Amino acid sequence: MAHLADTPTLHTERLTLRAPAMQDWETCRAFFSTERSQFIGGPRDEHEAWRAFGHVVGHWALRGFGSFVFCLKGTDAALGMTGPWFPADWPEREIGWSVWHAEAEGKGYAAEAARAAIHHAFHDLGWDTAVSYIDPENARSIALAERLGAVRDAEAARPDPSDLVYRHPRPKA
Amino acid sequence: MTGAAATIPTLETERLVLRAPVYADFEPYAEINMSDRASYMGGPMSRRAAWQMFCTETAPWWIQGFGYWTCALKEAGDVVGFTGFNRLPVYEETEFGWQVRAGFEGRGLAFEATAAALAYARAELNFPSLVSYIDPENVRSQALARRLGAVQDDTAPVPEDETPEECLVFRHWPTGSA
Repeated sequence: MAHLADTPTLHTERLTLRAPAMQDWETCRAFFSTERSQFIGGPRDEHEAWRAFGHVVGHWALRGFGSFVFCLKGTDAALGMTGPWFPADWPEREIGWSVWHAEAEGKGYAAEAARAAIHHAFHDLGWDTAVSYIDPENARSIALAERLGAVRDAEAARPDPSDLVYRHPRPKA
Repeated sequence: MTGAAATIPTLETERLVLRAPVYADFEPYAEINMSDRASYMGGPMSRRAAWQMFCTETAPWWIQGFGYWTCALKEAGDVVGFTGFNRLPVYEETEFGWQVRAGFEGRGLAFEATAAALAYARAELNFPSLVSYIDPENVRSQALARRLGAVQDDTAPVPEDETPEECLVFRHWPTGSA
């Protein structure tokens, strides 16, 4: 019998980050049905949303790491997702993020969660560098990358020619 | 460390082992799905689309308790194909699918692997029904479904994104139900 490795849980001041589970599907599907998903391939119908959700879950299973959902401490409702991300066709390792609920924006949750994910990637997974690929029209995401201290890397390869590449500084231990 | 942990059973047949998919299996998976061999299931597809589908076929083990196995030769270790179960939102029923890698056909390996997967489903998975969706031109796959005991069911619903002209339904069980 093969066992998938247990997945880590990360804690920040206000949030808990855990691997996605079946109970997150409806929230994920709802996010992909809205314009909020426009910069990561949405809006998508239910079938395409399932493929996107399956991609996230299967990435955990096949890579051994992946994108966490983040929830307010003491709750289990996913507000969004962030984490180390490295699909087979990606040029290099990425830190991705998406905020699923409009109400969860403007409170610094995404930054708080992404900082924990970046720390995890460098210190637990041993990454020596990480980028974020961002649609040039996604102003909120660009602002978040800059807030995290990431800087544009014009030379780096990217999955989509129109993507911007932001390279993250190594976080302090 | 807490969180999701799934157990993927390993099945053994005379010549094959059906085991949990691992990252390295993506290369043979991509080889099949980026080639004309995937033409009956929406291919040939890009490497990116193949990776996403590989993830989506593995993911159910984690969240639904079933999924796809990698089928490999017991001794040599060569990956010969993939088989398992899928329940997409566009499906009315759970689907049993398979793909065989070029060079491993005509030796009964696909039958051996799928028969083992089917036996496992009968014994361990509580699917109220099980079907295979097959392209009308894919006669090889239809022959395999029949050899496994499935019966063509023209009354069964096809996936939401397909028409009965594009997709035949072969029913593994419940048999004889109408």
